Amino acid sequence: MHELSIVMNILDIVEESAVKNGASAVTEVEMEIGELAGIEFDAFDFAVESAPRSDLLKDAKFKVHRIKPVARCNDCSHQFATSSYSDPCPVCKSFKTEIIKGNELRVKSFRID
Amino acid sequence: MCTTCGCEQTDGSTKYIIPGREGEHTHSHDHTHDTSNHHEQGHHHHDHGNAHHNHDSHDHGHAHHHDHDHGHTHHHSHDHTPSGSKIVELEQDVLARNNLLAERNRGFFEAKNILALNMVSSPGSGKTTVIEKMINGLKEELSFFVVEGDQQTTNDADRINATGAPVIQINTGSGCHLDALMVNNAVKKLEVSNNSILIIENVGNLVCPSMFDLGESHRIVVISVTEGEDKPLKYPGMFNSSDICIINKTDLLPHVDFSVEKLKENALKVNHHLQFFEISATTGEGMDKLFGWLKSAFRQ
Repeated sequence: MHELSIVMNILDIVEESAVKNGASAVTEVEMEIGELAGIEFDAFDFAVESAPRSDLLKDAKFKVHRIKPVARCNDCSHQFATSSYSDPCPVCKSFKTEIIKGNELRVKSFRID
Repeated sequence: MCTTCGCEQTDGSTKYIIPGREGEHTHSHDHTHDTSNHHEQGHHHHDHGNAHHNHDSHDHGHAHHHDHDHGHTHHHSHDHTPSGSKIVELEQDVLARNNLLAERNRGFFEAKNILALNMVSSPGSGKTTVIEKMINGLKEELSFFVVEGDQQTTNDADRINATGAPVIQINTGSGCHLDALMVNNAVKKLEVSNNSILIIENVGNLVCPSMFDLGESHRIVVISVTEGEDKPLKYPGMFNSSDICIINKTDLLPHVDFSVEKLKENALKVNHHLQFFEISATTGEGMDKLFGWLKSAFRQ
């Protein structure tokens, strides 16, 4: 549900920077989104299609790089690929883990004419 | 169009309502243009970076030694980059504006010795009742201010108003969460005093509010025993980003199939830092411990 406001935020951020770069059009926006960023990817795609666009951004395509989450165990320092906040450490089975990668929500770059 | 500033008021814009002062024009739709100029320093504009990302200009190193001088303008329009197109590296967090504003709120709260609590939960877990009971139980010792977030109605603000605590209702319209700007606006209108507790009751929603820092000192997630004990696993973002978990409606435990221990176990899997309070806001059971925590958190 918040994906629409996130997408509108992204469009604002890109627009502001595109204007400063003297762009006549933005053709592509490249995103990095962690799988634990709280973004539902389908809802995100839908929001990209339905968000109101300015003239500068009306033809911009979105390219999304998904970032796989990585957690670190506080007890044994092991780092491991995970898919949720609640996976135990595969080595020592501890739940005292912290997500160290996979909650990014970044505009990486955009392409302008 | 708003007569105050002339800016366009779109459907679903945010409204701010103080009970008893509804006639005053307190709505101030989020003027994002107000704040954007404060954030310039946070952006990475990387204007300089375009040349090395522009495939037109990379060196191919094919050493053709033609001596004839033809201005070196040939073969530099490779079609894999349309001519005139360039890439701007931004590397900007989408929530950077919200996070920056949240930090400003946080600094403001610290300077004024305000303990700010962001209360989050599903709709119907009893947040408003918990807040009413906290205020009524401690209002002789502590001063409370409340920001109420809902999509529509002032029902919750009216309930808080009855306790005597100053309250402002934010109606987010179609919005599913509060953000740092709304809280910033609301706190200014509410004129929160120094040395007080600011309770922010977020929109009832276990998903979206987890992404938006409001500048709070503590995030308190409320869950009632009529919900499933696997809720922390289903909605991990919210439980992961909170530091306090209130388990409410414990008076109903004899009537429902709910294990407090199982809930805690699930919640700790998602966030091992969580501190729990088991209460019944209705009967008052367990509220003493919560009051004790609130007083000590305020003194810190």
